[in-house]
Amino acid sequence: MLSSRKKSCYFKRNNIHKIDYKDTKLLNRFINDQGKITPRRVTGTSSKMHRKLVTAIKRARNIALLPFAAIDRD
Amino acid sequence: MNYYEILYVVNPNHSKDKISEIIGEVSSHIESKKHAVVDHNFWEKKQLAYPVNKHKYGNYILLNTEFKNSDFVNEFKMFLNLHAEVLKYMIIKLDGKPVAPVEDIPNEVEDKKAEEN
Repeated sequence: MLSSRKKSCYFKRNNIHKIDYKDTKLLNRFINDQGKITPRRVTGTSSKMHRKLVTAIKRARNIALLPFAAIDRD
Repeated sequence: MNYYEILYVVNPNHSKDKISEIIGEVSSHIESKKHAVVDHNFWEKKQLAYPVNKHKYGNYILLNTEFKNSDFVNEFKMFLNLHAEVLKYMIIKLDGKPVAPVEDIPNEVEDKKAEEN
């Protein structure tokens, strides 16, 4: 279905300027079931905030707050 | 002078007393080298996203410090590496003084309603 509505940046809408890597609830919105970062073309995040988001997610992965890859086989 | 945020994970089986003991130990190490501890608190016991040293859970401790020179970072890394209780750590250099904790995130449901109107 074609939609004419433009996607808008989540952070701009909610007036968020800083992304904290400890805020996993927020970061979880931008990763899929596999733990991959959702592309900007899907989420509509502005490029400035997406760069910050990517840094935050990678930091969270480093300290085991978010998975590098989440494949549960049990 | 630089501000650093350090988040480290300690053994999940430790009691509150043992954790405060570790916090005191780390703080005293920093203060003995004449650097300042801004904030040093137990954050949360959380499930780890992937196993670390075969542990499924971890006690997270958040530390905000002000180091006088950046050389101390490497020294502090060595200290954490050799500390038997620390499973994992991450050191981040902050742009300025540490800010207050994260506020609540607004709900997506409310946003959608606002968009429809």
